Amino acid sequence: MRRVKAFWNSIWKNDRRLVALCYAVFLAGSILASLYGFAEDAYQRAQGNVAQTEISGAQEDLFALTDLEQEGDLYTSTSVDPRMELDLAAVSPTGVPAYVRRVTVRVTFLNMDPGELSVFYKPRADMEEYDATYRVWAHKEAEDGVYTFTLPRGALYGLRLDPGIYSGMQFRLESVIINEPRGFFEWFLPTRPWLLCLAVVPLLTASVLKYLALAAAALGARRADGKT
Amino acid sequence: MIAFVEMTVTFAALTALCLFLNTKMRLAAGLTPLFVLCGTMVWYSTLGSVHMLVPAGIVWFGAAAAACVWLWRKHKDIRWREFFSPAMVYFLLASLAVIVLFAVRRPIFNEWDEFSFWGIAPKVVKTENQLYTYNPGEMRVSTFVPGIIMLDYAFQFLGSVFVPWKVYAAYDILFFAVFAAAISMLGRRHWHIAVPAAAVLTLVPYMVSVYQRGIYVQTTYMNAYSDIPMGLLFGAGLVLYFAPRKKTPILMTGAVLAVTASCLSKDMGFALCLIAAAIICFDLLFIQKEDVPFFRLKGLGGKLCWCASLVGAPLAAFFGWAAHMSVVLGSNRFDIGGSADMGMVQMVTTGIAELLGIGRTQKFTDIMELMKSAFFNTRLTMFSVGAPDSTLGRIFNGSGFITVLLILSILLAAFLLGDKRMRVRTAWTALWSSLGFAAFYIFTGFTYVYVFGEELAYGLGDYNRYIYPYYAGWLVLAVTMLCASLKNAKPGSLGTLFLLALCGGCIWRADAYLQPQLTVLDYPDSHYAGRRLQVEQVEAAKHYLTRDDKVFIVSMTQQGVGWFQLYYEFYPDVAVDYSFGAGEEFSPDIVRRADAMPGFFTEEQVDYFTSQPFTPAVWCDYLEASGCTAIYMDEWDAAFAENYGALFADGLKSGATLYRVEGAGADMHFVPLNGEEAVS
Repeated sequence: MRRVKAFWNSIWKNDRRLVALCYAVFLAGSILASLYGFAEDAYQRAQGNVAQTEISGAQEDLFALTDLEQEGDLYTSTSVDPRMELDLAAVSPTGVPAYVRRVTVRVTFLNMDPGELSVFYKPRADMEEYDATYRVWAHKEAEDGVYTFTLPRGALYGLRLDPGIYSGMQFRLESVIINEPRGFFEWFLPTRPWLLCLAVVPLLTASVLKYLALAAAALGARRADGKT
Repeated sequence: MIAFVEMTVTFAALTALCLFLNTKMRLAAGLTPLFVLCGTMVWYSTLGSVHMLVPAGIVWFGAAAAACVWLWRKHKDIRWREFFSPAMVYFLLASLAVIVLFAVRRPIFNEWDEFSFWGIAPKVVKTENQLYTYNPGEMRVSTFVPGIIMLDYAFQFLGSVFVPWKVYAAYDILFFAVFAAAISMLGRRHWHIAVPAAAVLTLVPYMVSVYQRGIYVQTTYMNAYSDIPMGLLFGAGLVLYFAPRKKTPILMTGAVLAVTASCLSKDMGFALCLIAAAIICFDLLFIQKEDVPFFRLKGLGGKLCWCASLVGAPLAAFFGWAAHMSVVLGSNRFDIGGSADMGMVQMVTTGIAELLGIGRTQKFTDIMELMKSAFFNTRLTMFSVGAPDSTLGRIFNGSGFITVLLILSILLAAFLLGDKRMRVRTAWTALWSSLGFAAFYIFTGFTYVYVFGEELAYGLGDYNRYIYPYYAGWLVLAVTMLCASLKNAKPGSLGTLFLLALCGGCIWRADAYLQPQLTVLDYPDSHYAGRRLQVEQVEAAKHYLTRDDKVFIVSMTQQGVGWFQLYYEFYPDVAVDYSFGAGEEFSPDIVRRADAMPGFFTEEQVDYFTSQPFTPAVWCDYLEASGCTAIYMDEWDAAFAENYGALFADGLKSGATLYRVEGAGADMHFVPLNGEEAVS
């Protein structure tokens, strides 16, 4: 206990220790957050709220198509803004709102690069239209036509796949997998925003704590002066 | 990978020069990157203007090598602890992070003016190894001052090919150098002040230019436009001068280089650098008590010499570039043309006269009213709170007025926290920078009245982009003054929390307005999808062409942006005809303008092509006269196909993008090279 107290006191006197502590707390927090994400996902899956569903690209009743022509699993866009709106109620065990954490699209583009492949979602029940603010882009895993979209945690009221930005684009949609589980270590993969946070957040936190320590010390000194 | 190595070596050379300045000249470590970069801009611009760009680069790297040798021999004199100050650590880490990020993501040019000048100019300079004025090719603008392009060149010097992301990295390194200078007075002991200050400064380019949460990628920190660099360079001279308390000759040399670099950043930079020079001169003459010797000259004489340098160097740069333009391009820098067809001096004198009510025109009154209204009502920065329609949102609306209030409040905090000398310094600086802003704002109004066409003038076209450079530089200056005051303020005083509050506020607004996936940090690959497709198509087309070919481009895009993009991509492998600037109009009903004709046409040829409708036969005559051997079809419409389709062997139906011009006169026709019907 005495050692802990001594360490605690030394933090406020040694800036390096303060900064190191902030970094340690941030890293520990990040690991805990990842562990929580993993555990919560596993719990929701066990409860049946989050379920994996695989949709064949040849299915004709699950996607409402706009500016797209479908022949089996072959799709052809007829404008620069083709859309595929998923019938969430049909794929979610809990109906709508649905719990969609991840969308994996297995697709082969035949005659051109899609340009932009993104997923739009509705996080609120009162949203009539899709809003470009609520959109995620794929993290292409490999050059094998597998696109993975990670959505924010929470209930969704709509999900739309925009497969490209060109007219006349042809692609074979093998499947769309909703809620494909993430491997344990995937929860810990760093992202670029996280790296930025790693660089900035602990330093800023340490800076605030240092300010507070200085303010407290100044206040203490003032009080001591007042008493004498 | 090779580009990454080249960039890293150049950055290492820059760091060596910084270490030399810190060790030998005793310049604060945080100020050295800005000193070197401003010196680099001035050095390359000067030698580039006299056709000695390659020697300039050799000498620059030679100086870095010499600095390394000197440092090796005097390694015991290096004060590493002092060199790795918070400012220098920030500069090194931020710059290296950007170099690594860009080397991995490899962003390319995507914005309109990057193709018309800010991207094509460094490509031309790198390719030709000479200033763009000497051999501009089909560049439509070649009169812009060269400072920023020369900064690009310094980072492109190593390497055999032009690499676009190096341009962005060069800009960002300059930004970080300015920000590092702003916190350069803070030693390791003051790291807790440096951290939030660095966070605020890093956000400045976003804070002053983003006013709404967008749905497209926000290109700040990966954009070659010169407005933010110009604004930050305006602040650079002031930051260099005001950051340290002690004014030394080497510091003053840095300030002179910075105001000169500001003058060389853009035409408006001349006005900004004179404002910066005036503020510094006033402080030097009336506030600074200690001597600042100019060589051996001390006292007032020394100070006056520094003042003369601060004003004289940018003037020399301005008139030097005017002389260069006159000799090399045969154009007059003082003739700004525009709607009123005035010279620069005449514009200023007429504007001041009208401002004083002498011969005031209705247009002047209207536009100045619009400028006044825009100051209070136009949203241009992140300093807004709440929905635009709410009461709070209407007051704190991100307008110029709110931005100025914020900047002045930072200066007020600096005033309250500072000691007696700092208070005097801050008060006068606040006054002169405010008056400078008023002058700059009114001057911008003059340009709307006398230079812009009616539509742009009454719509205050690009108002935000013309105004926010001042806010950027001013904000950096204000943060510098605040840091300088905080350094000596009592620890724990309430005022010291102001910086933290400012930092928290900036992060709060940035979080509200910016989505990581729509910024430089994590933008999606698809951001460049259209451009990458274009690059692919052009590279494929190049296989069918040789250096003897000349390509006519049909690109019926808005304002002919397609032509500029294609010219950039074809350069320097294949010659491209100006093609009348492409654009949406391409029909037999129009008559071509004389200024769209090639410079080598005779008067008779110009008369011929500008005196009759642009029928298919006239187009064929033009192709023959201009020496075009191929046609690149970018975008066209059904009317074009109907009017000119007969000239194409495939009737424009094969999906080809490249055609060979064959035959002459009435027999001329275009044969597809890469479509379904192409002959292999």
